[in-house]
This record gives sequence, structure tokens and C-alpha cells, in this order.
Amino acid sequence: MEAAGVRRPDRMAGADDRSNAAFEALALPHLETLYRVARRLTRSDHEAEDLVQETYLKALRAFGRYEARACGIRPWLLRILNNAFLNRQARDCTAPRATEQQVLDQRPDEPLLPPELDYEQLDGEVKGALDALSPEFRMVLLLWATDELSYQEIAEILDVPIGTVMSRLHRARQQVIGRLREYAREHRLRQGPARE
Amino acid sequence: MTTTGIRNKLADYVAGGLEPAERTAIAAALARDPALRAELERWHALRAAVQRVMTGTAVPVGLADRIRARLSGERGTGVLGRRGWVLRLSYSGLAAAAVVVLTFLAWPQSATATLVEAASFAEVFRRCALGHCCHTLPIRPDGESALAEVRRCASFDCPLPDLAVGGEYVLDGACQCPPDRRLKAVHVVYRSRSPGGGVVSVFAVDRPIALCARGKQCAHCPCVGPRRYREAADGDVTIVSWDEAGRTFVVAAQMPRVELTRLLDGVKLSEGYGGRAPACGKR
Repeated sequence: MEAAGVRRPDRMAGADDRSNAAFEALALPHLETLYRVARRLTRSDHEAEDLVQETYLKALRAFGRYEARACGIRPWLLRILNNAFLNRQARDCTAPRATEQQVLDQRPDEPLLPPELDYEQLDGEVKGALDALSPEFRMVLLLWATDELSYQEIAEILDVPIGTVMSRLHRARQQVIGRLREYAREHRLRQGPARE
Repeated sequence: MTTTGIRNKLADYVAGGLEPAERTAIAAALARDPALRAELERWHALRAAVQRVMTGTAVPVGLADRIRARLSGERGTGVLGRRGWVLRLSYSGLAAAAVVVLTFLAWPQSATATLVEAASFAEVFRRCALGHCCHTLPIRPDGESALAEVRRCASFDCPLPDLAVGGEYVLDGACQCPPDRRLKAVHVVYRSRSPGGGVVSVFAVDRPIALCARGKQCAHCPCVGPRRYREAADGDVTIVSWDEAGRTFVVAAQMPRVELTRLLDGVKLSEGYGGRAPACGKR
């Protein structure tokens, strides 16, 4: 399994082979990443597994059209996963929606508040904060944080402008920090040497 | 590059994005500006926190095997698989074509079925059928129309196997408790008229599924009959499933598999309710 954060210099070897075996060899090593992203997106073990299985099936069907790239197959798989997730959401019509993106993008970037928490102690709260994000914001944050994807790569996966990626990422950070600050206030936590 | 421009690109900087010239400019700005360095640390902190949470999420045991199983099931119907069929058909003629068509008509869902643990059906059987806990769909005591009433009040339309037709079983309850959170299901309970007779749970689900036990797809019964059943067992509960009319049906009962499939072989799916939708008597 590939460690998060490791750049993928060249995955084009064997890219001409479009057999099912080649697909499995290329795609299955990314199962862990896909499942983790799906798990946080769906907030459910069952739905995450279902989503990942759907992603692999769709990817296999589209494998003939896959264009091998230097960054490997993972962004392509993540894009399929994201689209499958959005389709499910549209079908269910129950998930919360992000603020209208055009409006959001026009708003000035507010100054971000400094973190006053020891993140090491707050994994559970971070999970809650991630789950509370709208799916659009959550996906951008997950792609950026766990897959070391650049704005450009995230924009391609999500099929949105780079400015939207930037905006969503900043908003996501604001919301996560905002929630963690609430937690900190409730527990009277402060960061570093000032902790009481 | 302005300070705001640099701040906007810090996350990309952390992720290793940006052109070399931009990275150099940002590195120089960071060396000059402690506020920017603090901002960079916040991004690093956020990233570390999210990564910690993500790496703590364990991939379910056997998921890779289940995906491989589904991918291998896809081979006969995927893009590459279809090409293979065309080649084979050109050599083997109409007889082979007939087999392919029959296979697709009879079991169209197999390639895209969701794997669902058989034990989850047994659990609903025990809780709702044996335990009488949640018969939330209305049952009318007037024979044939009772099943139509259940069907009309269910959250999705589907035909249902009608065990009451033979007279041995009577419709005794119905609910929509899903055996799996991914599914919608209509669960109909039949009780034998014989004193001390058995209880049979019939499930119709809203999508094609494949029964599995501990992640491995259940095998087909070796029985010969009009339907092709998959079988599983959970303690004393036998679970069988089959695909028909574009649906998967699952039946659970405390009886041997041979007896259960013999009973089901004689059962037809309920007719529709004529397209009318009178007021539902759902409680």
C-alpha cells in the first residue's frame, strides 16, 4: 500500500495493457485511500464499502478510456468516486448542500483564526468536524490533506475551477477550526505553554 | 506576489503544488514574515490532524476480495468482456447467442449486485417475524388483496412471492425493516396454518443483491427447479435468494433448505394492483 504523501512520479508503465488483470494491478493498490475518503464522505461503513465497490466497477467499465498520466491512476479513481458519491446524493436528496459556490467565491477571504488546540488530543473532535462539513468542502479537504494533491489536481478531479478549490479549502479549514475552538472553549483548553 | 496571494497559495505550497518560481517566492516571503510562517503552521497542523483521522480508518477485512469477486463477475459484461463475447459468438453461432440472452434475461443483476450478509436477513427474521416486533405495514384479512395492500403501501413498488395462494400459509405481518442499511426492503411474514407450523420471511429489496457469508458470495443450490437459488445458513435459519422480474428476493425460515426451496418452487409472484393507488391504510 502506498504511503500518503508520496509523490507518484511515473505510473505509465504497462498503461497500454487494458486487461482486467492490468486494471486490478493498477487500481487495487489504491483501495485504502478510496475507502478512507469514502468513509469520511458517506459517514457510514456500509455506504463507504458500497461506494468503493461502485467506484471500482465503474472504473473497470471505463478503463478503455482511461488516459495514463504521470500522476498515476489515483486521481482518476477519486474522480469516479466523487461523481458516484454526488450521484448518490442527488438520488437521495438528503445531504446538506454547500453555500452557493458563486456567492461563496465572491466573498472576501476572511482572516483565519489561529488554532488554539492541541490537535493530538482531538482526533474524535476532528472526525466530528469533518463529518459536519458539507460534502463539497469535505472532499476538497480530504483530497488536499490525505493525498497531497495540488489545487490543480483537485480541480481536475472535481471538475471545478482552481479558485473554487481554494475557496472551499479555506472555508473548510475555517469551519473545522471553528468547531474545534468551540470544543476548546467547552473544555477550557489552550494551546502549548499557555495550557492550564 | 501580494501577501494575500501568498496566503491563498500556502495550502498548495504545503501539498507540494505550484511552479518552482512560485515556490521560491513563497519560501522567501516565509523567511521574512513570521505571520505567514504561523499561517503555514496552521495548514500543517490541519493536515496532520486530518491525516491522523484518516489513517485511523481501517479498511474492512475482505473488502479487496469482495471487489475482486465483483470485478471478475463484471468480466462477462464489461467493455472488454463484450468484445470477447462478440468474438466467441462469431465462432459458435446462434446456440451460444441464445445462452447469452437467456443468461442476461434470467439473471441480469449478477454483475452489479450488492453483496449483503445472509445473517442480516436471519436477524430481521428472528426480530420481526419470530418476535412480532414491528409489523408496521397494514394487513387486511381478506385473502388475495392483503398482499396487494402491503405492496401498495410499501415505499417502493415490487411484486412479492405469494405463499398464501396454496392455502398452507397465511399472511401474518409486514414491515420495512432493512436487513442492511444500504437497502430498502419489504419484509412479509407468512405463518403456517398447521398447529405448531413454521414461519417464513419473504424479503423484496430495492436493488439487485448477492447473498454472502462473511464477505464471500454464497453458492447456488445444487437443486433442479424453475429458480436458481443461492443458499446460506445462520444457526437454525436457512436463507435462500433468487433473482426474478428484475428483483432479488430473499426468504428465511427455520426449515431445511430442500424443504424451503420445494415450497418456493410452487410460489408465484403477486400480480400488480391494477395501477390504481387508493388511499393507503398505513398506520
